Amino acid sequence: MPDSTILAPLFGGVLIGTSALLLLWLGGRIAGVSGIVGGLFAAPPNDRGWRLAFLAGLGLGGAALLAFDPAALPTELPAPWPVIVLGGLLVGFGSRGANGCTSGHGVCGLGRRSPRSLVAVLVFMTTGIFAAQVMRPLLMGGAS
Amino acid sequence: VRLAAPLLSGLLFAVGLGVAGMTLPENVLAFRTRARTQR
Repeated sequence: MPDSTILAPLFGGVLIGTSALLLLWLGGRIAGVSGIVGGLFAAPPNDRGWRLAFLAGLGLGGAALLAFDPAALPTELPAPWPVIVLGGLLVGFGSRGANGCTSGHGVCGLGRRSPRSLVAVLVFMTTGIFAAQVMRPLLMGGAS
Repeated sequence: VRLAAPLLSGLLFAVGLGVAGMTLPENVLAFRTRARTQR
């Protein structure tokens, strides 16, 4: 892994973009993770296979990365678990309300020049940056 | 191809997230600490 604050996100971003492109080109689907997960419960049975395959790929990718470089993934919770549960719930409500999350709106929507994705990204990035600036010092003792 | 494409896409997505996440402050710190101890 490159010890660089530029190369790692650049390479990671290229991989994420390639992933979204692959799913769109070969499967005609949008790589919006919250929508893919949500569809598991709402979509008809014949529309669930590709969703399960994508989620299996996510798990395999995480496992492969962990095997290659254990330090790539955090092993400790960055905050008390009730805070993480609450954060997850808020993200879940927000992404379903906005009809997409960072991957659906941020990666695929912006790539497709969708105006509503631009609005969603501007709102959740602004809110996220503000929340991180307020919450991180409280949770991590001033580290940022 | 019907299931291979989403499988590969998901795999690339997760690896991309993990690689990009290397620059999170706590992960960079862990990486540097590990590199120092390996030297």
